[in-house]
Amino acid sequence: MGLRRCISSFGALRSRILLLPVCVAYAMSATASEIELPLLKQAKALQCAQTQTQASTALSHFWGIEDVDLNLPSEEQGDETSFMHAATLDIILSSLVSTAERFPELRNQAERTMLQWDYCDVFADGVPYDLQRGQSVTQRVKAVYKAPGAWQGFRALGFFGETESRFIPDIISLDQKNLRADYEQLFHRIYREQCFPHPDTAKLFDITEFGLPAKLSPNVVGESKSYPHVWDPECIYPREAPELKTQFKLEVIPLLVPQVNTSVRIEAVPLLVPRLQTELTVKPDSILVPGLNSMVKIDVVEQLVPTLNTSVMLKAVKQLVPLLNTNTVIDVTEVAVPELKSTLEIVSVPQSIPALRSEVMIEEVKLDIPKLATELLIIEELVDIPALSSRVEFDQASPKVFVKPTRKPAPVMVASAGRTIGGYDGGRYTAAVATSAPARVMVQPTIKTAPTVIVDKDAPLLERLLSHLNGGNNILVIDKIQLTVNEYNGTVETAISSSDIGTTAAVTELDKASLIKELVGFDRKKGRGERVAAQQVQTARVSKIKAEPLKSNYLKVPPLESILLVSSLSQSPAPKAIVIGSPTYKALKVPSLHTQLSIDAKKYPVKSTKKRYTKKTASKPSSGSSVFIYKPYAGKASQKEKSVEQLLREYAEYEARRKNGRSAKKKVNANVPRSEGDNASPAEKKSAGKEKTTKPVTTSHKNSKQSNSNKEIVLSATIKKPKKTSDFTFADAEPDYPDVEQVTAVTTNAPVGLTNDAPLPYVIEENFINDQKEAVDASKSKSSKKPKKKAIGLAGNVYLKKSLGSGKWGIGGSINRKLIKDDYWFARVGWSYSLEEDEDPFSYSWGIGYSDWHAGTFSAQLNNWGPIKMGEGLALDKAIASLGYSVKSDLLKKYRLSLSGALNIPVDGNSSAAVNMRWSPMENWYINASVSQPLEGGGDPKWSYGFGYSDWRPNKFNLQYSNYGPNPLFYHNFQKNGTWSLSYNWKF
Amino acid sequence: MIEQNNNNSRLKYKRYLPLLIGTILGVGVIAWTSSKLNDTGQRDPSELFSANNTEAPVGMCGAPQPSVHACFKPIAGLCEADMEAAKIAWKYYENNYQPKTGLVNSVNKYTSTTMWDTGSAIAATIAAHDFGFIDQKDFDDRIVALIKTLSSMKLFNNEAPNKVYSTLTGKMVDYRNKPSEEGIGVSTLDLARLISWMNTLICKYPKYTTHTNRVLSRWKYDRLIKNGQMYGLARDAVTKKVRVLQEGRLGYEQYAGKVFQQIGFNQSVAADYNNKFKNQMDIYDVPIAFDSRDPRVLGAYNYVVTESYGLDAMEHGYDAVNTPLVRNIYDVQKERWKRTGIVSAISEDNVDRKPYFIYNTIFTAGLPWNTTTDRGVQYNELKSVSTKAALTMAMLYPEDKYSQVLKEQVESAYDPEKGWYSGVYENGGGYNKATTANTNGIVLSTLLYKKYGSMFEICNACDRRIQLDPEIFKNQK
Repeated sequence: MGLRRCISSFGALRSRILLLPVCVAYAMSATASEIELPLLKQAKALQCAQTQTQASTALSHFWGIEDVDLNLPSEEQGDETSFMHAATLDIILSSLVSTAERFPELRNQAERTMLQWDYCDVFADGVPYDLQRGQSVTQRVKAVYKAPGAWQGFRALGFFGETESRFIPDIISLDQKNLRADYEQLFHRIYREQCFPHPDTAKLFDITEFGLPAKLSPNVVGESKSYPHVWDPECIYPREAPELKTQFKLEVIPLLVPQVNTSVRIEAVPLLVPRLQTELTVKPDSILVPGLNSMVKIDVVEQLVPTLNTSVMLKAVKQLVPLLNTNTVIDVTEVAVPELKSTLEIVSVPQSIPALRSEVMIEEVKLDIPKLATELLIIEELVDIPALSSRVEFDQASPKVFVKPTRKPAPVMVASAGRTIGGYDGGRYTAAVATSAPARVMVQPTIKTAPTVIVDKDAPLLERLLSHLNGGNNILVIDKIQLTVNEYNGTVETAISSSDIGTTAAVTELDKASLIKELVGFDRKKGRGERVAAQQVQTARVSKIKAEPLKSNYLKVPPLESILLVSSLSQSPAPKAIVIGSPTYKALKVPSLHTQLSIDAKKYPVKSTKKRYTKKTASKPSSGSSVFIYKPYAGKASQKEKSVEQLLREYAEYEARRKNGRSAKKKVNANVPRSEGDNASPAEKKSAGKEKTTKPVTTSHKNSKQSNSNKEIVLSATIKKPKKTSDFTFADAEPDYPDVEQVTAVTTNAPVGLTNDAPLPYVIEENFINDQKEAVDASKSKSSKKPKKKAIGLAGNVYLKKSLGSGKWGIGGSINRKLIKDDYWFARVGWSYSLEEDEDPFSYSWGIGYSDWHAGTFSAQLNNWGPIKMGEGLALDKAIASLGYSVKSDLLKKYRLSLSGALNIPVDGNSSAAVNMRWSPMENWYINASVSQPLEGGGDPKWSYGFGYSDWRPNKFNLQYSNYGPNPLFYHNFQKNGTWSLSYNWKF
Repeated sequence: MIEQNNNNSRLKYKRYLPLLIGTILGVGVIAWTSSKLNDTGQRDPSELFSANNTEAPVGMCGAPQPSVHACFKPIAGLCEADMEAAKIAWKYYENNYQPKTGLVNSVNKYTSTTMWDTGSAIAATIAAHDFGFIDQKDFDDRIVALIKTLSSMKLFNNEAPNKVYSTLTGKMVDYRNKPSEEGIGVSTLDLARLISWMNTLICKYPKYTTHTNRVLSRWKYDRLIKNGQMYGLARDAVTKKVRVLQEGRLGYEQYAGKVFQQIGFNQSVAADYNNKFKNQMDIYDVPIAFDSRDPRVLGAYNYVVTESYGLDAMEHGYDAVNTPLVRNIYDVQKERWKRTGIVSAISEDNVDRKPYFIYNTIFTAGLPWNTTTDRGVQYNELKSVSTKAALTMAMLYPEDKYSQVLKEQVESAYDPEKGWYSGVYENGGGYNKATTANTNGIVLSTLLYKKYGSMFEICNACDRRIQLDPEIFKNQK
């Protein structure tokens, strides 16, 4: 005010230079001098305090200054008299309120200050009163003047009844829990005894409403019409005076405009123009350029690369995928190798062969006749059976008859093929074979054209094949057959006998299957091949044999034939692998293969004979002559071996299951790429052509051993070197992999309403899907001659998660262990560590049970999804047993849906049923939702859901959103219950 | 062939093995849990009792010492519905138990508590153990943790427990649950309920006698109990000075006064319903006693609610004075129901909306059926059927048909995962979903009362009560 006055009084002056300092000086002294009342000075200090410290100091001046009688601060406080103007109190209250609002930390102090005073006398019925006390008599004077504070202080506190945006002291406005006497007393004092407005209603306590006697108030003695003290509500801070100068200029200018303008134009224009122009031009240029540049930068910012970055992240993921693809490709080739290894499972092959032979027999009967004659001779010597078989095998002069022009000439692929007699290069066998073979050659030139190759059953298929290719000779595959050669009085006896040892589990499934198919293929195609028909049409038996239903049985096999081709696919990598041939290590996988052939077995049940033969061979060696006994299963105890029938039957069952897509164990097959199946056919043909040579052998053998032929068949076959491009594939076998689409989402048995700090449930089932594939991969590494690395069956993941509800970050992980190899029993442990919780951030969960990820299977689990805190142990009482079933349906599969249900039974609590639906529009992308209905205890259905990218394979990253609820139906609670997690799968 | 068949069947078995095991497991779990329930639910109480009785106290095998249950002889069996109700109530305590301190949140998920609610927690824990919800180990763990906190926590002005403590840290806090180094005051009424249940604790589990006596002897009673009345300490929010205020109005005053009387204090005024402050008026022609000290003059309200009378009956038992008073409290509410059709079970309660705590009263501040806050603001739309009041009344007068009405009114006012709600709004506004230690503690203690009778009567009968340090009484006035 003072300044304005100063300015206006000097308004007419032209010289601003003189004016400004004077005005500033005046203003500073004026404000200080005008307010003289100490209370107002303090109020001014409080109101104009710029820092909390200043305000706190100023505020403290109002504490404990109240006059004893008035219970208010007083303006003039003497021993006997004191005065207090309502307007002064108003100013003080106003500054207290503004202080409380400007400095929240001083709010409590400001509130306490204003709440210590008694307002009953100074304000009543909407009228403020000035108080004056003298000589122990207090009087009130109506304050009807215009207060400098405009009663803003009283108004802000609600004295005038305002309820909107008034200042309510926290001290009395607490929305309490159960407050007891102390608050009631405090409230009573402030509201009823000090007449402060009610915190809720802003009303003043009216004791008369309750019919209670009113408190005595001082007498009212007239009205005061003016306020004697000076008050200036504006805060002027001396330090800011320089800034004020500029403002003054602005105000003064309009007054002086006319004069100044004229003078300036005249003098300055010419001189200033040039300079100004140059300056102006320079500035705008420079200014504009950067401005434009900055604009461009801003655009860039707006594009918000972040999203681009994220996309880049995605690309990175894609890069990972290609790597995976290459891996898978490698796997395929690798797969082929193992299959070759599996050929070691020849054990099963021989078993299957029997059946084939029987069919073949029909055509070959003609051949048999001659053999029969020879057999008789053998009988004379010693053992009938050996004689017959030996002849067949040892005829090695084969090249004549057998020569197949183009195919057989193929060069030797494997080092092992070096020997003329047999492809098997094991040191111990060579001698025996070599000696025996030549002797027999003489006898049966006509019957067997091709030399017999003896192949160790345990040798890899490819190795055996290669050996054949080598010599272009017939292969004699010995399976369950013991070849005994005795040198006896200068003559050499050869005996073939059956050692019905049954299968060992040495071979992988694929191998078995493939071998079987291979054999079958031979039968079919060769049976009608050129040679056989030409040579052996003669026999009378033919009719009988043809009548046998056996052929029909074999006809089913054809799809298998392709397998042979597949094996050849291995091609370049194959040879090495074959040499290394760690034969039998995968015994466990065999069982599934066994099942299929059972159908055939029914027709050829001969078990007892086997035993006899084995016994014989066992006794013979003792005779002393050089004896070669081939015991393919020597290493394994024969007790648990399965009979051929069993194996065949099991294989048949296996096949059936496989086609149904149920067999989980057959996953290896899935790894065989389909694309290579096309190449299979040519290879088939080749192999088929060679089958003819085999037939004679089998026939003779059969004759000698009567009806036992099935079990103890010796199969000799020369097989041409398979084409490199051929592939191993079950013609009708869809890889299991598509089943992954129907993977049961575990979330069915995950509880609705997982808390944020619980470890995330983990889809364990998926993790083991390609367990066997992994194993195959491992065996592939055999090329480096490392011992096969067995997976220890541990898998799991680690993740980083953020729950949207609490906004907290956490990390966690899980570890799963298969309890039984190749089965679906598992145990699981999950852990979670909250990154933003100080107290007890660690929690864990566990689970155990049986869970098959395939559609159409049941699962049973016992889980505690947690969070279990340290020290709670298993917390069995909070565990949940769940029984689940995943629906198998082609319809669902078609739409890439999977459906499963579960019955969740908490150990302590109400059970519920849950249904889960999962949709996977693209591989590895999914959306799933599950609904859970409490079965007891009532309650509404809850649901949970999730989506994201999830690749179950090890060493993959997943990004998932999951919402475990509990969400009432139709409420998504996306923020409240949702959790984003980035996880990484691992496996050992 | 046979072998083949065997194989086939074996395969079949193998395939269905998980299903089989799962079924057995599931059925087993259900059978097991339900059998457990049935066990407790259907067991004859006397059987339960005798089973425990034959066992000598820990470490005293065969010694001729009185059994733990020498005092607690069941007078009634709990039916299944009772056990269900108890389980729901116990759920609250399971959820809100803080193992670190042994304290229990007074309101669901709100981590602070008062001594009153700590008394409720002891009652609930005793009941849970008695009903078989927790085993001895669990019970002991909770009690030991609690006693440890009580004997080590900071006291207000080094005199007695502060009004509010954090259940997480065991430190003194204010009503906003903010740490308060100096504390905000002492509620002697709250202490009374804690003492009442500590008395029951040592009566039923004498092994805690020494510790309990120590906890209580740690307090200074000189300012809290004098002139035959109770006084609270309060740190004035404005002046920050500690004030000593008479505490208790007719009803709660007598419930608490009798507790202090039990442990040896002079409560000639406070423990007497017929003291000089008693006044009486007829509401619906039923004489209702109320405190004549007017809140508009003295600040403290003279609420007339069900809870104080219910607690008095259940813990102290009936006598010539309180029998008609309690009956009148029951009758006047029944009368309101008859005349207005409004089911009435009236008590102070937390509410699940502003202003969060409501005094729903039979009479206060000169008005019958006054529903108000302690600032005197009326909230008639927040009138509710109080769960604790309804269940208490039903338990006190099981033969009255109105009790059935009360029970049915609140029988579903719970969340199985959280516990009993505080009540049901009278105006159809749904459940009052505030869930508190007080309501759930009272539900459990009503069932204890049903099974055994009033606690002080039982314990006095076998002469077990808290023994304070004799020094304490020397300075008593």
